[in-house]
Amino acid sequence: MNATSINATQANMLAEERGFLLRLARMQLQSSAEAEDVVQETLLAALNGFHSFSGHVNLRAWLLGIMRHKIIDTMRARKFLVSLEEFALDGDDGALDHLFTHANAWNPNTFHSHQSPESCAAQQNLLDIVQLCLNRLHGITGQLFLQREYLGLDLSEIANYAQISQATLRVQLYRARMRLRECVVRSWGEVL
Amino acid sequence: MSHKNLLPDFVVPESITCADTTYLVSIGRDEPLDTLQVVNLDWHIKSCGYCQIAFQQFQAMFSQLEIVLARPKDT
Repeated sequence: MNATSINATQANMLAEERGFLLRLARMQLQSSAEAEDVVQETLLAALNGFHSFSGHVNLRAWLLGIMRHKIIDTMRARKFLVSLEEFALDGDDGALDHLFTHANAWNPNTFHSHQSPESCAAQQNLLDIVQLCLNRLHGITGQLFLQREYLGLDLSEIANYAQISQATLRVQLYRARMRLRECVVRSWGEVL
Repeated sequence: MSHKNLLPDFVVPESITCADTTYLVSIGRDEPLDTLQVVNLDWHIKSCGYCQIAFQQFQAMFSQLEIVLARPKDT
């Protein structure tokens, strides 16, 4: 089976995932052109290899697996140097201060106690919320976060690749997770 | 992060803050915590209602994130 033998429905299914893949790729690569290329290559590989799609995972997960390798290949083909100015622009040390009191306890005035609903009916809404909040993690913090959480690179490789210390990397990952939690938990309260 | 039965009896918890627990949750996402970190985290969460809620929120969010990003199990 090749690209010409998949049916229109399957081609449409692939096309529907393009937007999500592109947003994710743009968050990790340094130019839109690189992101476009990676997504294009991913969809082409999916078209050519659609026969190997078993259906054990959903289509998006399968595509994310293909794209993961292509992004890693693209990243490894060149150096990614994070400048101090980029951190200064991207990272606001005070952005999380409101979450805690001076004694570093949770601030009761800003703490969101909403829990994730357990009903199956809410599952897709929950995933949509995470996806929306993920889109709000931009800049260097978002890039580093996805290198860890999506690409699965270990800390030493990310730090080496970005030419930053592991301590700096841990701070960025911490910020990203805290921001993501804030966005997700607030949304649980508003939407569900 | 299920670890309660793995803790040696002789490790004495140190007092940590709520902010510290969030650092440990983040660190624990990337690499295994050492014994003292696990004890401190566990001890604090047991005694702090806010951190119990926050810990559950993190766990739920990470589970959903893994689905959204199709994260491989071995990373």
